[in-house]
Amino acid sequence: MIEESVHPARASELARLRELLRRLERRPPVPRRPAPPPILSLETIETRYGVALRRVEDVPLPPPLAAAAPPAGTLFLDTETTGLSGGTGTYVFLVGLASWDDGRLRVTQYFLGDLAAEAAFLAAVRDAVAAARQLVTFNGRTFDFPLLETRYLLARAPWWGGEVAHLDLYPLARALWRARATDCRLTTLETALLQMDRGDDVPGALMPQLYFRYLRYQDARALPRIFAHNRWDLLALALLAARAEALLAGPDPHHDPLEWLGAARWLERRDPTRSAGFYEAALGADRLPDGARTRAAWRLGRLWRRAGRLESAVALWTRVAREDPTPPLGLLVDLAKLCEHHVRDYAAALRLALTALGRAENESPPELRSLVLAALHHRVRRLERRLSARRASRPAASGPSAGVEGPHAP
Amino acid sequence: MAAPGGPRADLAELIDRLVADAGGAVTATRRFAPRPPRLVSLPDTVDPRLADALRSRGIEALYSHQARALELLAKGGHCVVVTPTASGKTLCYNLPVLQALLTDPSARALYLFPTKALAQDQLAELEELARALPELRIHTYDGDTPQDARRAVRARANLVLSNPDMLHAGILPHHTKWVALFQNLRYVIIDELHTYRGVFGSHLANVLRRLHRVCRHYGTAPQFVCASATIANPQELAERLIGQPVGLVSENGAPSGAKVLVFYNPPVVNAELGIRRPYLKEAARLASPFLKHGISTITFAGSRLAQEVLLATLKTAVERPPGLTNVIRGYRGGYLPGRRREIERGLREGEVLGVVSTNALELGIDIGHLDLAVLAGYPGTIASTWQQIGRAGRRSGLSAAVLVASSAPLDQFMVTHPDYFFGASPEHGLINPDNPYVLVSHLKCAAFELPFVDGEAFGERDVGDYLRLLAEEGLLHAAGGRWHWTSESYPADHLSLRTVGSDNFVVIDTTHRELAERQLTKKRQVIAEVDWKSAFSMIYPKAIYLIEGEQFEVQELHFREDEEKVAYVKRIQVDYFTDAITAKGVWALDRFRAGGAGVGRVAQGELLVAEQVVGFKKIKFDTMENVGSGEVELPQQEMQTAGLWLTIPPETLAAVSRDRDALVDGLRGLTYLLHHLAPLFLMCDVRDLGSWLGDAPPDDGPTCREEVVDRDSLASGTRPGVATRSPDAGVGVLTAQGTRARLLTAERFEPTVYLYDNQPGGIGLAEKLFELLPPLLARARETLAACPCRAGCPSCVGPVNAVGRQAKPLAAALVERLQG
Repeated sequence: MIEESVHPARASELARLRELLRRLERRPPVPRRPAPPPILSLETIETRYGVALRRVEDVPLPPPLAAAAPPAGTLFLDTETTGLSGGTGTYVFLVGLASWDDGRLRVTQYFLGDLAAEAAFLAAVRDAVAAARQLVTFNGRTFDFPLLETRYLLARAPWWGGEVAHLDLYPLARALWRARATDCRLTTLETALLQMDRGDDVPGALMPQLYFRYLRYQDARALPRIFAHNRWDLLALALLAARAEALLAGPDPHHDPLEWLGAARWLERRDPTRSAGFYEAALGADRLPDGARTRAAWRLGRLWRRAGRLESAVALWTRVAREDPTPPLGLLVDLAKLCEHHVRDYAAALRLALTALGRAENESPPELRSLVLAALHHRVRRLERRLSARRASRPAASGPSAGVEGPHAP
Repeated sequence: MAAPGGPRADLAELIDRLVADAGGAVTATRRFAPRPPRLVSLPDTVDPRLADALRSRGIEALYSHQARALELLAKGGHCVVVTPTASGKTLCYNLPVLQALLTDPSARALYLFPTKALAQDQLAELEELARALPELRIHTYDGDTPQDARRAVRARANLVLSNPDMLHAGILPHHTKWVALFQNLRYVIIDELHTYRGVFGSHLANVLRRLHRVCRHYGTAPQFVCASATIANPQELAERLIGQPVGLVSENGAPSGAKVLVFYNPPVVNAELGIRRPYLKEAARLASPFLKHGISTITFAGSRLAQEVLLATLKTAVERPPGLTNVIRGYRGGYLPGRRREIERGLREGEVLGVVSTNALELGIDIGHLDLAVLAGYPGTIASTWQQIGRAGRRSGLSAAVLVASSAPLDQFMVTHPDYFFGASPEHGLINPDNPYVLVSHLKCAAFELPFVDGEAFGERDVGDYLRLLAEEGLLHAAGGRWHWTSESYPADHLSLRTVGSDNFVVIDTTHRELAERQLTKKRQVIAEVDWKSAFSMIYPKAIYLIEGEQFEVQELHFREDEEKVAYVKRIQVDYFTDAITAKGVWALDRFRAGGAGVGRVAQGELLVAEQVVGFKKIKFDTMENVGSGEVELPQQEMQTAGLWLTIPPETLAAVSRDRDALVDGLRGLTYLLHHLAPLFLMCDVRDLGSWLGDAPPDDGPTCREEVVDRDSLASGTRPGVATRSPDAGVGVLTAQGTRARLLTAERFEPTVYLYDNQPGGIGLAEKLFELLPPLLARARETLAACPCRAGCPSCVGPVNAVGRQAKPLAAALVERLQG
C-alpha cells in the first residue's frame, strides 16, 4: 500500500550526512589549494623510530645579559600544541629547547612534520632532554608536561618527566611580579619587565590553525611564523629566568622595590633571613606606595616575631599603626596580641582590639565576619577583665587614673 | 496514629473497603500469591573473606538468579539480569566484581549508573559490604567529585562508580590518566539498563564502542554485567548496547509476599461531555485512608506539576491533626540533593510515611519497603507501570497497588482493558546506535581518543565513509594509514548524551533577601533546580512554583545566554496553581522519502518544531477550576527532528464533507487518535512522539532551508496554534486555534497531519511509523468502531470539548477513505 519512491540509499545518505555535518559544524568547507614550496629549511635527524625534523638557530643576547648565564645544563623548554583543552586528542607539534651558551641563546626546535612520525619526534626530544640537568618552563607543570606525558604514554614510549629536574618559572614569576603587571602571562611580563617587542608575531592562540593548515594543504608558509613565535617564547622565558635570578641574588638598586617585595614574599618560607633583608631594603626605599609599605612592615614584623625579635616587631608595627590611618585589621590584631602577651600593656592592647572591632563590623570578609567578631569580642572581654583585675590588685597605681577615666574624660 | 492491630491487617481490610465502596469504578482486581525463595548455597569458589562479609550481613545462601549470573560470568561471557525490584539484583554483579578484586589486587571495575544519586546509593551499599574488606577501594567519580580529589581517585580506586556522561566527557578523552584502570579493567557494570532506550541508549552504545577501543588499546576486554527492570527485550538491548552476545538471567529466585492490584477508573460526572472526576483528586482521596491508618504509601504522578498538586492535596487531607507535619513528602527531579537524601532516609527509617513522586523514584534508589503504591495516571508504559507497582512490596506479607486512570486515552484504554494490560509484554528498549547524528558525534570523540586505523570498524560498522567526510570537514587528518584528530576543540564538550539542555536553572528564594542582607550573610537561598527544557513551562514570570506543597511566585527569570540561569521566587500563599499555555508550530525542512497511503499522500523527513510559552492558566487547587490567566513573554524554543506527514488529498476531503469546519474537527480527532495509538506500535511513550495538524509543505521537494534559518519569518509569517497542557489531560491536547483559522481560510485546503520524534534529531520513530501506517490506520478504524462514546472521548478522538462535536464521525470517515 505504501510505495517507497526514489531512495538510492548510500549516495544520498552520504549527501545528507554531509549537509548534516555542515550544520553540526556551522562552518563553510575549505577548498583545497595546491601546495606552495616549503620555505623553512629543516634538518633531519635519525632516531630509532625513524626520521625527525629539527631546526637549530643561535639568538644573540644583549651584552649586559650575556654574562648572566644560568647554571650549566639548564634547558629552557616551550611547546606549541594543537589545543589548550588537553586530553588525548591534543598534539604537541613543536618542542623548543634553548640553552644559554657563550653569550647567545642556542634554540633547538623539534617539529612534528607528519602525525604518523610522532614516535620519532618524541624520541628525538627525549634524546635532547636526556642530557639536561634542569628544565625551565613557564607553566610547564600544569600545561606542557601533562600534555607531553600524554603523548609519550599514547606512543607507549618512556616518559622522562620524572628523570630531569624541573623548574616551573610561573609560580616564581607570579610571586615576583604580580604587583608590577596586570597579569602574569609570559607576553605581559616580557612587555612590562623586559620591554620586549615581538613585532608582528602571531599570537599563540593561532598556532593550532596555522599548524592544521600546514598539515592539510602542505602549506609551509606558516611555519616560519610558528617557529618564530616559539623562539620568542623561549627568549622571553630565558630572560625572565635571568631577571628572576638576578632579583633573588640580593636587593639590587636597579630593580623596583615592588620586585624586592615579591622576592621577600617568595623567600619568606625558603630563606627567612634573606626575606627580611628584602623587606628592610624595601621599607628603606622612598618609591614604595603606602599600602605596600604597611603590608611589608606587617610581614617583616611577622618574620621578626617568628625569629623571637618581639620588641622590634612591636616597635615596627606601633610605628606603622600610627602612620597609616587604616592599617590592616590583621596587623592590629597581631599587635594587640603582642601588647597583651608580651609587653603586657593591656590598655594599649584593648585600644587596638576596640579599633579592630569597630572596623571589623564593616571590613572583614562576610563569610568570616561572625568568627572574626566573636574572636574580637572575646579578646576585648578578656582584656577588660585583665585590666580591672590589674586595677583591683594595684589600687594605688590605677585608682586615681580610674577616677579620671570617666565617660567625659578629656 | 496507626490503628491497633498493626498495618498488615489494615491493608487487606482497607483494600477490600476501597473495592467495595468504589462499585463500578474498580475495573479489575488481581491477586498474586506469595512466592517462596529458591536458594542455592554459596559456591566454594567464593573467596572466604567475601563469604564472611556476606554472612556478616545475613547472606548465607544465594538466590537462584544470583548463582546463575555467577555461573555465566565464570564462563567468561557477559550477562544481563532482569529481576524485579528488591530481588537482590545488585549482588548479581557485586559478587563477581568483589571476588575479582579480592583475588587480583591490580584488577579494576567500573560501575555506570544513569544518575549520580544512584551511584551514591550503591556506594553506601558497597561500603557497608566492604567494611571488613580493606582490599576494596571504592570511589565515585562524577561531576560532584572535587577537582583535587580526582587524581587520588584515579590512582587509588579499584572500583569506580560513575555515569555514562562522565565516562564520555571526563574519562575516555583522558584515558592516559586512567592507565591503571584500563590496563586492568575486568568488569563493567551497567545498572538500570532499561533507562538506556532511544537516543540516550544510542549514545551509550557509542560510548561503549569508544570504551571497547580504548580497552583494546590497553589490551583488555572487560566482562559486562547489566541489570535491568522488566522490559520485553533485555537481552537484545544489552547486546545492541555492548555489541557482543550477552547471556540472560531472568528467573527470579527471590521470595515475595502476596500482592493485590486494583484498577480504578474515576466515575463519569458528565456523560454528555465524557468528563470524569479529576484523577489527581481521586488518587488523593483513595490514598488518604491508608495513610491515616499508618500504611506506608508511595504515590506516583506523571509530571512534576501533577506531582506537586497531588502532594499539596494529600498533605491537606492527611496532615490535618497537629503534630503530623512532614509525614508526607514529595520527591522529584529538581529537589536539591540534600532534600532528596533526607527524604530517602526518612522513608527507609519509617519517619516518612508517604511520598508523592514523579518517576524519579521508579529507579533503584533504596527507600526500603513500602506497603502501598498509588499510581495517579497510567505511567505511559507497561514496564514503568510494573516498576512503579513493584515499589510496594515485601519479602513476606501483603502489599498492594492501585492504578487511578486519568481521562487520557491510553489510561482509559488500559483501565477498561485490564486483560490487555496483564497480558501485554512490557515495551521494547529500542536503540539505534548507527543513527548518523549520534554516530558521527561519537566518531569525533573516538578519533580524539585514539586515531582510527584505516579499515577499523566502529562497533560492527565500517566507518571509512564517515572518516573521509570528517577529514573533508577538516576535523581529521589522514597520515600513515591513521586518521588523526586535528581540531582545537574537545569534541566531548560539544556533545551531551541527554536531550535535556546542559544548563540548569537554579531557583532562588528571595523572600528573606532583605533580612538576610541585614544579617550580613551572602549565602543564597537556592531551593531547587529546573532543567533547561522544563524551565520555560515551569518557572516563567508569575508562575506558581510548587515545592513539597510550598508555594513560590516567580518574580524574574534570567535565561539569556550571557546570564546565569536563575529564577528568583518569593514565598506566597494562594489557592491556585498555574499551568503554562504553549504556542507551537511545525515546519517541514527536508523530505527523505514519500509514498501514498491509499488516497493520502505521506512523506517522511526532517521537521522543525518551535514552541513558545505565551501565557498561563490559574487553576484552583480544590476544584481544579480555571480561575484566571496571565501572559508570558519568553523566547521560542526550537527543535529539529525527524517526522512524517500525511496530507489528505482534496478528493478525499470532498468525499467526506463539504464543510471545512467539520473537516477540521475530524482532522483534529484523527491527529489525536494517531498520536495516541502510535506508541502501541512503536513501543514508546506517548510523550516520545509529537503531533501537529497543519498545512502541506510545498510539493516540489523540501521546503526552503533559508526560511528556517531566518527566525523572524517564522514568528511573523505564520500563526502558531495553541497547545495547552494540564496535569489532568496528561499530554498535549491541541486546540490548534491558529491552524484552524488558517486552514479554514486557506486558498488551497491541504490539511496535513504531522507526527514526529520528540527528540532533537529524531530517534527513528517516525521513520518506522512510515512503514507502519497501514496497521496504524487499521487500528484507528477498529478503535473508532468499538468506542462506545457518542461524539468523541479521550479514548478515541479526544474529549469532545477539545476536538469538536463532529470529530468522531468525520475522523471515522476520513480513516475509512484513507485506508482505501
